Amino acid sequence: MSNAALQVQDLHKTFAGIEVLKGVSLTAQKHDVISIIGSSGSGKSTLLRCMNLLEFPDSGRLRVQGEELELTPNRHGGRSRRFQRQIERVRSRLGMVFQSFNLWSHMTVLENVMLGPCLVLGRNRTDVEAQAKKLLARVGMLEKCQMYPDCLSGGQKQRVAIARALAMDPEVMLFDEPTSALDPELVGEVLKVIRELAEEGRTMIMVTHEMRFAREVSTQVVYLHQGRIEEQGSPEQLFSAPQSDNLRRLLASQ
Amino acid sequence: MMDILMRFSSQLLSGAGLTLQLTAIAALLACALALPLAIARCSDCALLRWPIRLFVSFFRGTPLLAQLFLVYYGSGQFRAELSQLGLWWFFRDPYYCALLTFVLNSTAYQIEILRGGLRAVPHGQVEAAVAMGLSRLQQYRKVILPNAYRIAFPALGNEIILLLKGSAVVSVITLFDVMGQTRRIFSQTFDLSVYLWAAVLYLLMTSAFVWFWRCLERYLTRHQRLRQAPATLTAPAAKRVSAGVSP
Repeated sequence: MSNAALQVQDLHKTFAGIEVLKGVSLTAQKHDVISIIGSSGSGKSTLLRCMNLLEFPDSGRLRVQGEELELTPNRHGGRSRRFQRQIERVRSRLGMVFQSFNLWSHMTVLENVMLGPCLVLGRNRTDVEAQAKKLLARVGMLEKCQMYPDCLSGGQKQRVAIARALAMDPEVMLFDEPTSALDPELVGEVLKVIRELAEEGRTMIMVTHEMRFAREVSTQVVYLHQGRIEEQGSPEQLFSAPQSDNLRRLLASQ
Repeated sequence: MMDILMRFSSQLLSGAGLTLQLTAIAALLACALALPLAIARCSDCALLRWPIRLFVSFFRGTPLLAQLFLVYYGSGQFRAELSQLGLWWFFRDPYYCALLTFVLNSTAYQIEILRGGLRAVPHGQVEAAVAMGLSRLQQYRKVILPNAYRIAFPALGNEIILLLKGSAVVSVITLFDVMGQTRRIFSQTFDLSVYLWAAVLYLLMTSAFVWFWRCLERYLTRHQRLRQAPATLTAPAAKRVSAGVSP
């Protein structure tokens, strides 16, 4: 299993005395598209945020492309410089797309996409610009490349955010409810981009409420309930013949 | 009224020069000091936070004039010690004393202004930088500070205006800024209108500064107004409007 793109084992996370993750293990092989579903408060987003250490799990193991991260029992500030470097390196290999886009508002669309490769990967500016434009063309945002994020619609912002994450050429893309902050009529354009990424074989882990979409694009679906994985399997299994009552209730409410 | 302006215009202008010089140097030095201190003020370490809090409360809580007297007359009490340390040349000069006081005073205010700016940086934008693997320094350089300074910008301008007007207190420690020159001219002529001209001069300086600051602010916040950044050569012409764009 060491060639897995991303692997978490027995992840525990507690916020203010409430245990949000109670030992979650998940493995994403290359080209997997894993959807994480569950009702709100089930720990989906926390699980995703633990994967690139936006949250530090209290215990558990995290492995990205065979590189194991030493998750010392969470002592904030007690991180060595070497460990900090390792975290930064691992983060740069995981592309994150947020629910609320989080584009840098003082930079143009093009600058947003170019910043990571230039700064973190230290790549040549002209190459990065050419690649950034190619990516923006892919998500249909090339014409807006000189605009500032404030001038864009939600769907456009999210497409730029996806291009920004792709520009780092990540091993795994992490999507944290990428369409939940969008007006209904803008959801389609973002899902279309994500679907294309899935079809070209990108490894992706996605927290989503879009059940139909999850069913169509995923290779694997994970149902999280109260901090535990309650059910896991192929989309047909989970959506057509759910075993757990909670999942059945969730699907019925959709 | 006009004749007094004609007769003393060179003195008044040299006073304006000193006022502007003091304000500019003090504001710049304070700006350089305030940034690291503001960041330290926001840190988790109480040992860093508390001394800065104390410093800020002292300089914000006492009058500028009292601070100036403390530095200028107070240092005289320690003349022997300061001479020994080789610092007396600094403290015996009212110009340096005024500068030091202004730097400390303005630093205190700017720390508080910047702290507000740092706290108001949209958290999501910082998180996006973290998730991309930017180092702490890169996060500050590219995301946190550009945001924080834009937020703090109007308040910083305000602080500099207050400093410019507050600098009039140096006239009581024998410096000839606008106020000092005005007092001297008045004592020679007993013509009250010179105070009017001094007020006009201050008004001109602050107005010019406000205009300058506003231009700078418009430039810095262009991303909130412009539909499009100034066209570069590589910008493709927008021909097609994508689906789902709100006008």
